Amino acid sequence: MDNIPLLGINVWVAAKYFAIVGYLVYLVFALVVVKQTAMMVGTLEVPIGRFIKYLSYAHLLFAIGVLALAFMVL
Amino acid sequence: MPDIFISHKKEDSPQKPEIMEQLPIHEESPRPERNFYKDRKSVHRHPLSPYALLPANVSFETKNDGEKVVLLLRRHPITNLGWLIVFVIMLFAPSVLSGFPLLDFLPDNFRFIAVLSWYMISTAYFLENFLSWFFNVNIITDERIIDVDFYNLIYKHVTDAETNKIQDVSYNMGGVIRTMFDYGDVLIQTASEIPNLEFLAIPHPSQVVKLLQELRIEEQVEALEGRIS
Repeated sequence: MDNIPLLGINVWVAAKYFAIVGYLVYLVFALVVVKQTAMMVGTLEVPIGRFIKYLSYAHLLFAIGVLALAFMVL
Repeated sequence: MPDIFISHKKEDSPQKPEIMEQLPIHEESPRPERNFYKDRKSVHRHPLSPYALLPANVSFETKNDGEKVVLLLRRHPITNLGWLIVFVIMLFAPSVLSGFPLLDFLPDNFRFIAVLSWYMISTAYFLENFLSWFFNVNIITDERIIDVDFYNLIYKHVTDAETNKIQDVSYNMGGVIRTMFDYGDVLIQTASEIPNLEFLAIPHPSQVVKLLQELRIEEQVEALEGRIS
């Protein structure tokens, strides 16, 4: 019952690949956030600038982690 | 027979023309400290302060040598209330909605990843809004005013105008919330290429206008005294 009619592809396998493509797009977004943060910290130099940079790196790591989990769990 | 057409040799030490001796010698001297700083203490409660007077360790990309940041302004924190409420709702949504069979059609592994994705999107939402608030600043230095705007992920717009180019400064503060929390918009008209600068939703707009006025007067006094070129 989980197969797509005519195509014969399993719905959950297709969903897995869709999800992975989505996470890859999100990963690009997370990289842009890192770049953006670096640009912002360069524009305005404040004492907590380094902490904010680490925050963007943590977000990138989170995105990589979810992508890796999606590969393994789904 | 003496040759009358041969000129006399000049003396070794060249003499300056009289007019040159009368001119004052301009040596490289440090810019005199402005009266503005003498009677003011730094008001910089925490790194997220929206109104930082004479902040320490704050600099910006186009800062000149010897230029001093007098005031760093951000939008009033109360303006963040809307997205903060949405963020808190986003954080608690999975646990609240777990009682409803919204994701029951998904297998367990998909459900787990869906919840993780939700938190990931929530983090991005928080980060984007926070970065937008934190880095969209207005800076007043002892030489100019600067407006830094980040419109989206990779587009920034930095405008500045020299203090002596300021023609008119006004502010408006209307509404219950703005009056209660003492924040409003400061509008600055300048004689430079960019005619208007707007400091939007900043705290203590009346104090900002007063400070700009003091800086302008000081600039005019300096111009009269011939301290600036």
